[in-house]
Amino acid sequence: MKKFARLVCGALLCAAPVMAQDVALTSRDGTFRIDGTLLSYDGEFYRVDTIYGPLTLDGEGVDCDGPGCPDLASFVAEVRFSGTRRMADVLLPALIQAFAERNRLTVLREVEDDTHSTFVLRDTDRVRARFTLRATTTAEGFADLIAEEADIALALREPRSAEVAMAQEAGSGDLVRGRRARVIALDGIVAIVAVDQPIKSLSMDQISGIFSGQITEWSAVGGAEAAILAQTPQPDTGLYEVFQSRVLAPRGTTISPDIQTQSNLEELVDTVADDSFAIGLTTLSEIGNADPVRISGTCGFEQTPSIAALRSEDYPLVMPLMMFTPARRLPLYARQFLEFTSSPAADLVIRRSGFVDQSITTSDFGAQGDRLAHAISRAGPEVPLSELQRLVDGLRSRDRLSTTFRFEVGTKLDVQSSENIMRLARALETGTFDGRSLLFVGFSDSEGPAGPNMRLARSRAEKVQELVRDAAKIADFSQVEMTSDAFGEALPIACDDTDWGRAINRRVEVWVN
Amino acid sequence: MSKSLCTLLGAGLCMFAAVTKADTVALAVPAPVPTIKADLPHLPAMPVLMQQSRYRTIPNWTPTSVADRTKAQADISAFGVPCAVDLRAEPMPDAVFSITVNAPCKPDQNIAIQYAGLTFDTATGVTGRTTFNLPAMASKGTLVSVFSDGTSLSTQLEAPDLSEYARVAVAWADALDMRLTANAPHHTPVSFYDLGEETGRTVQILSHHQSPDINRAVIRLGVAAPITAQNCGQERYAKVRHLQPNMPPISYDLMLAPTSCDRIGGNLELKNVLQDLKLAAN
Repeated sequence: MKKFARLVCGALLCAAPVMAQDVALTSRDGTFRIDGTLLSYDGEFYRVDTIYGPLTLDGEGVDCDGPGCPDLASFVAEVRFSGTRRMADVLLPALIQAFAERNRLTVLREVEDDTHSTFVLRDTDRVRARFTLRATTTAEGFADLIAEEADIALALREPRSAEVAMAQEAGSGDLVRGRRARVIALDGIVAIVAVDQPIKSLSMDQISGIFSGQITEWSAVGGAEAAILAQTPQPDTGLYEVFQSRVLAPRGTTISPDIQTQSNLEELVDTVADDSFAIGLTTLSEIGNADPVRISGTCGFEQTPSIAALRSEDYPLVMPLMMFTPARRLPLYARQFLEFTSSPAADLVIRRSGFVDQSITTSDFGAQGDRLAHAISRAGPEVPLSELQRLVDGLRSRDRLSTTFRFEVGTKLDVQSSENIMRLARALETGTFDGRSLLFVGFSDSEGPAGPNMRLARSRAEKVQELVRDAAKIADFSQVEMTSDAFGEALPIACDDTDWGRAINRRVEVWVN
Repeated sequence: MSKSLCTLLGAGLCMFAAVTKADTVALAVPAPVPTIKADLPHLPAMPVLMQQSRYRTIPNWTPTSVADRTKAQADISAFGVPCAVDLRAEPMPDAVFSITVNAPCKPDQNIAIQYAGLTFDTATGVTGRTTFNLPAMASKGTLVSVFSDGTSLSTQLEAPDLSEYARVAVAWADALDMRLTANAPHHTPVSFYDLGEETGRTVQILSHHQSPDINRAVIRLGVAAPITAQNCGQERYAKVRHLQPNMPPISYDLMLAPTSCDRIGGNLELKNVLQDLKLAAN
């Protein structure tokens, strides 16, 4: 109810003015004058609520008169973050610290309590920026962003349609279109058990059955005669919501209300680690002293939640950690911080904080042994041996990039893959692949006849290649060769008998030599 | 002073003068000039000596003890030890140093110890000496001890075996009872080191030896303090330094907001302020 009230408030712009006072902005040549209420000043630009609506004016071109005018010489950039504790507890503090050090600023973290902190960034002269951080949930982060109580929302999922509509009504623009979302790092949803629990591999159906309350005994999944003590995070958390929508909703079930919830993931993980018959729902970055459960498939594939599998999205429950920005200009320090989060220096911080960064790594052809063996064992009329030989000939001399592209439907990329386009484009622009050739290779699932699957895989590979070329505007394409190919359903990563397995198999890989 | 004059003035005076001259440290001591009784009827008149005005009178003179004069004039402590100051660091097992600060002529004096960006306060004892065990917080670093009179000593510390240890140090800028807390699994033993006097700046260090066969482990870290009349309503400043095998060290500064004095008797506990120690399997 509180959240709803705040959203309505945001929609009516009643929460927007931070320091509502009158200003008159006059152009330096005196030819025009704008009167209004100052909404914000970011050190460069005035944002003023006028009779024409909110306007943004370059501070270089106007003089400010009136009681609302900011003190230009002592401007301190205020940047407010709000959202999921998965990001706010560890990742953001580490990134802010590294960002400040890189910009020769010192940081003092003023801790209000476990969920509210302010990071004061100063140089040798004075305070330059204050980053405030509210650790809450993804939903609250979006609500704060829409109500203009936050400048950057920290999210584990994309906004729901109700949140997108609310943002538009509030004048916050379209949360989905444009580059409003940035994937900062990757995490994965994992089930965990105590170290001494012998069951370390479960199918997605079994995991779903346990958390929906349909499976209550370990003996039902091949374990001991004992009750399963399942633990989940709070229902309002992004992790709970993503698990519900991606794992249970497709099966027509929900998380059982009888399952015990824990107020934070650390307590959940510690509870599971201490109880041999417990199973918990957490993220790969927070498995504590418990063991993660592998996801098994009926065809023999097992998906292990590992850094490499998350980075290439070969694990089915990858969860991008995202920052959403508003449809207005942010202060320079905020923009620089956002830029920093996708730099190699930030990748180091992300790894150290226990998350998976999106840096581009390679694995050689030999690392594909299991996949090849599986492909050979399935060879038949749909995928003849000659096609596998073509695949081996085409890829043997190349290395696979961790950058992999996956599709929500048709040729629409998922959010992580959109970020991958930018990453790969930036690598091309900086000459990382100069003198080498990139091969975009499309793969499909095995549902339906092989011919259309091959055509779809080829069109996806061509589409990705085109998107990368478009995004890499300043790359020198005379130095790097880019081609595409497709092998259809020849080299599956997961079993094709489930939706999530087929989704993993529908992909475009990038191979380099 | 001639021998004949000695005879004239009496043995007592002459002996004192002899002792004074014989004392090798007495050169800076004003030579005592005792009052001479004028009534010497058997001696012939000696006009020069009998003019009492030639002798200054020092009323209420008390003799200086030898020990005091020695201490003041020869750079030697009250216990007879030379005053030279000394800072020594002896390597110990577990990447720990035994630190000894020896300043015999600076008894009961406060010392600020600065090392790896951390500072704590300690003090010399009655003999001018203090000793403590200091876990290494940098593979190479400088230890500086600064006395309250400004005297400064330094020494270099090298700990080649530090790479086997995960450590977290919290340096508190005041004495407000704040404690570093840790929750470690039973197979991950940790040890704590408390440095500094309770009345000054303190440093708490958690140390874990990461043996080659260790499994992955997470040590949860927090800070806690009882809320008292002394510490409520006050800001707390801390500097935190993390060391982990195969990772660059990280440091960060904290300011904990004041707790309300309405909560006296309760506890302040913060679980998300310090980064947990996440130990990777080797």
